[in-house]
Amino acid sequence: MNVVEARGICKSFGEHQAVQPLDLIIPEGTVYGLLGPNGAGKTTTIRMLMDILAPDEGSIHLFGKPMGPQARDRIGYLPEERGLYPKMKVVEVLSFLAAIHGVPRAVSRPRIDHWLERMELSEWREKKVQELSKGMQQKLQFVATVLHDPDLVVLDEPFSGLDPINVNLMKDILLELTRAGKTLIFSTHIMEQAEKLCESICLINKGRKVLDGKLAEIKKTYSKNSVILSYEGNGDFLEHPSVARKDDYGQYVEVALAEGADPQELLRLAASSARITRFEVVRPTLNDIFIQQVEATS
Amino acid sequence: MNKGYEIFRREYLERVRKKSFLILTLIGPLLLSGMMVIPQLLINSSPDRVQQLAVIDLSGRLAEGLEEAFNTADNHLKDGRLRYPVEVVDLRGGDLEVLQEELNQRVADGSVYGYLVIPEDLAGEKKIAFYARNISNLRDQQALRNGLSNALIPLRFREAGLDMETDEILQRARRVRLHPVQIGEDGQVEASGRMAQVVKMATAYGMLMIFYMTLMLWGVSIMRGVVEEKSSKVVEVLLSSVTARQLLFGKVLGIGAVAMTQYLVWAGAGILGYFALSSSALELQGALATLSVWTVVAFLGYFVLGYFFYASLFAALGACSTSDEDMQQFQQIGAIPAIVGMLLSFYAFTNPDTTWSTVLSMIPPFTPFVMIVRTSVMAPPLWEVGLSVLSLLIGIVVMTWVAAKIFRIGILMTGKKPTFKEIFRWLRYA
Repeated sequence: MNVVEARGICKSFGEHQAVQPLDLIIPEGTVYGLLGPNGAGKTTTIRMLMDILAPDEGSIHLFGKPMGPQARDRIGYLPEERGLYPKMKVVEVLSFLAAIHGVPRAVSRPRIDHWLERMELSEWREKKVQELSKGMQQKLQFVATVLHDPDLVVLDEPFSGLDPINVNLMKDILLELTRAGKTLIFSTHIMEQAEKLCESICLINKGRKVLDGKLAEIKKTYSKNSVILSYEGNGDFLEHPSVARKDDYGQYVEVALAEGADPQELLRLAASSARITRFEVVRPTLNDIFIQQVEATS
Repeated sequence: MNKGYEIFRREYLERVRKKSFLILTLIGPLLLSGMMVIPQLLINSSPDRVQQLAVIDLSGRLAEGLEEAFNTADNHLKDGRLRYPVEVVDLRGGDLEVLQEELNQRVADGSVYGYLVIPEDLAGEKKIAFYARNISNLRDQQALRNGLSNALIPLRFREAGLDMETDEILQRARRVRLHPVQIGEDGQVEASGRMAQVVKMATAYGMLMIFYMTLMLWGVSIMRGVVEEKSSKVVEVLLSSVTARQLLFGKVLGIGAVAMTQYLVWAGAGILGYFALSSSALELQGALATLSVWTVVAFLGYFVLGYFFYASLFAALGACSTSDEDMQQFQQIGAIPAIVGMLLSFYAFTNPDTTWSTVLSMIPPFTPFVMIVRTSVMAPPLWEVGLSVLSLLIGIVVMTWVAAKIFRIGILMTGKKPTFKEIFRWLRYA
């Protein structure tokens, strides 16, 4: 079953077309990445899925039905703009948010304790939200997202503002959720995360879908070789026509080869003018594909 | 489980648990009664001191009786001295203007509190001039007015050849009072006496004030709640699980219930006080008896409906605001119809049965104001009540529809303040 089935949804704000007609099909149990640069229309798309914004045109089906009260309770949503009632106690704000997702207080209390424990927030249980640090509030917000045990979890930039330890904690929990058969949608502009977590992706730019499908298949079709190399001396060989694009990171250079170019030829060329300390033929990263596609459509 | 109820529950509990609510609920009645009683006490408490008066008597016949007339029993100071000793100034055939200039000087330097100039023609003249530094002390002026009348009227009667005791003359010369008796729709006597009229007026304006204060205080509270949810960004989480309409209704009902709680506490305190002060209880009982059940029911009905109308308006205005500064401007937009409604209610009080009053009763923002007054003054025909309730209900449906729309769009808008053009465009969004 497709958990999300959106057909031809689009949204304009005045003159500005935020999302152009877009299809999104997300099967059950998938980890789905909604990728795109800042201002691509990711948040607007998610808000339409969540029925916070109504699409100008097109239809959205969740769990096989149009959006309705039942569907709402099966979704956990972490908006990009985080926010909780600052003056409420942690435990109260959580049981309130569980309650408006249809979980009675008697049921949510033990779950709240479990999650606070898990997020190392137990000692803050009776404190006001505004007393928590920014990072703790983020974790709290995440608890609020999954407290009602949703079947679909929608996370808008879930990792922004978290330190590496909490990113890891979050990642582990997301993995647990997928293993439990939940469907996950998350938006990000940080490709490394998407690459690690996503099964399928949709890349949008300027409100338009650029690319979508299973990540593995996308990578296969983009299997033009990339090379990572480090060298000392003259780098003129990088201007050769077999080099389609190069990203210099200082420590190493990532090179995308032109159509049909042979990496061996580049190696010979490089060795003739510089001292090579590293030469590795790699599959293109999602980051490469992302930059390539975004540049191509901009 | 009803989600609207959860919103309602949170709004209610969060507000009722606040310390500020507790404090205001406890000391509110004290503040209010203080505000009403203290100025009254201050006005009535004239300092215990002698107010030296001077009299120029051009008729030469009135002056001598004045000191006695002014200083009735309640105008004696605690030490037995007269409050208004009178010095009769002899004109001695001199120039009135010169004499007055002299007296003006004495008034200015404080040796005389004020002076009266009594005209030559006592029979025809109605006005007697009083010169003083302070001419806004109503208590003094009342004492002088009563004293002058009590001295002058018997004199006039006697000069017209009527030989009677002073007291009897005063008795007979009393003005006639009108005793209003109100007949109800059923042809029965509904209320009678001046007291009933005063009670009616006090009830009408008391009820109006409660309504108006509720709108201003709690309407603004709704606005602030919406703005806070916007600025703390919690609103997007809310809207992912409840509809804008549920959020709106939960909020309006929750905050309405908070106001109700406060009023119930106050009413409870009032009833307790009523039994505690049983001496005044009888008087109050008499006054309350003139209040018909109908008036109370009508008040509660229009109060609740009017609250819904204005609460949705304030919620929508809150959804349009993006900051506290915006909020103050938008708040005025909500206050204007309420203020106009208050002003129109004064018209409706004196003219409860004119076409204008009927028409104004059918315009939703004004309906509660005009109808609360009209129903308490004179029962309007039933069809008018029905039609006004209907128009108010339609007004509420339209207002909540508009509010839910603006709420849904506006609540996610942050940053710049929307223009009216933009707000109208939101209404057309699905």
